[in-house]
Amino acid sequence: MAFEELREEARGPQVELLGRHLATLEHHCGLIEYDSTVLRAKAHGCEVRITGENLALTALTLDELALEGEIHAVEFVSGGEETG
Amino acid sequence: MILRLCRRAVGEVRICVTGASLTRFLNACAEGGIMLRQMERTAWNCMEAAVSLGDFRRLPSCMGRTGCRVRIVERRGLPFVLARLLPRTALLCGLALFCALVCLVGTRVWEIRTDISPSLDRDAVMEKLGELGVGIGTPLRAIDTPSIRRQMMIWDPEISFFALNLRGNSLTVTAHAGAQPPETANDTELVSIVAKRDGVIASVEALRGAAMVSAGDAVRKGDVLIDGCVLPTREGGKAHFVRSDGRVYAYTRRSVQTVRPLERTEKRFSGKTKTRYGLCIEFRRKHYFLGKRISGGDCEKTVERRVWQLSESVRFPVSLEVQTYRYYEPEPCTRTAEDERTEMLRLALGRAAADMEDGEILSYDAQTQEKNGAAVLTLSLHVKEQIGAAVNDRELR
Repeated sequence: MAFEELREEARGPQVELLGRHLATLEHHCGLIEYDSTVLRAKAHGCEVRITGENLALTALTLDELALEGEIHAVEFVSGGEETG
Repeated sequence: MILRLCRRAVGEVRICVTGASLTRFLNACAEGGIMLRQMERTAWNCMEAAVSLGDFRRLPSCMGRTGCRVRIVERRGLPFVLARLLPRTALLCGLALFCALVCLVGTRVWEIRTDISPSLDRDAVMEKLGELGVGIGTPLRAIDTPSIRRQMMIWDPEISFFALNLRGNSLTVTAHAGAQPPETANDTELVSIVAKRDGVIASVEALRGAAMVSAGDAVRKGDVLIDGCVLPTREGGKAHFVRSDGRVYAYTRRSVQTVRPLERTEKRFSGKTKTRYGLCIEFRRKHYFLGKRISGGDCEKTVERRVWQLSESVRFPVSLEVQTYRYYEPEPCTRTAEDERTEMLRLALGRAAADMEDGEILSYDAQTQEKNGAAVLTLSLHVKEQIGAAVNDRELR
């Protein structure tokens, strides 16, 4: 049971913050919203919401994204991509 | 920096994406593996990003129904520079020709300099080198210096040192001959020093043999000055024969006469000049001239060769030859003996000095006169010179 939870956790979103100016998000499933104050991305089991000011997407691939700017908050909102 | 150079080499474009659903566009790009860089959101429905040329070509197939419009803002990189230059055929041809020329100049021998001892036959050495495949136009890589050196030294045993020095596209051939063994004199041979001119002895330096004259003696041509037969210095001794050696200085008189015509033709330059340019292709030893041949009238020709070179040792195999023709009118002129005196005196003194083996002119007296339409200069010289000459005893007696 613990192994299954660990595997689900590994498939979920992983956010890494470097100070408050750079954030990277791994295992996302696409963008929902993006502007200079908010970035919302779908992920397995939840939605990741990063808010701040002057947010700029510096890199975007199918699995990862990098965000620069003044980051105020990172939220995990339930109800993202359904786990398969 | 290197990555940026690579990106510029393959080419990149900066695009402006406009549309209400920019997030769908970004997702489509991510799914299609299109790498967007330097993204900048300029408005709520507009963003700019840089993509490589390859990714930009794949962009329409990935966009699908995102509803966004893509516009190119800036083109950067080598493919775009080349595309801009493509219509300029002459420029591209010139560039290609220059690259080919630099490649040709830098990879072959276009100049051969020589440093060959006078005792060796230069032409034979160069001919042998030609047989071994070294000449103008030879690829630098094809020159196997150790092998050529070995073959040259086997070919001519007189060569004691041989080297091929490559500097740029210039090859220096160095060949030195071994030192010749010194000529040995036969010390037992009877040789005397005799006078080769009339004069009054100034000094005698007898290094070997018996001095027969002393300072102040008057001698005639052929008199023995230092005898090879040395008489015994003690009672009951025997005379012995040596090879005489020494120097005998004497005051002598010399006379030099020079003649120069007083009427001759001089050049009066009319000021008219013509210049002719020619390309000299050195390895073919051919000259290609531009324009017509110079013909008609008397003219003086000056040739100047301008060598084109990239550096001191890298030169082009083609040089420019500039031939300048100065036209003149032959004009007869008559001069007096006095006019000619200075020049004739200079020549006569030079000739007398060159004729002397070892000596100096103490004083001279010059007489100039006109005779049969010519200036005649008679120069009498008082000279102190070495008059001794070695003569074999067999020739003497």
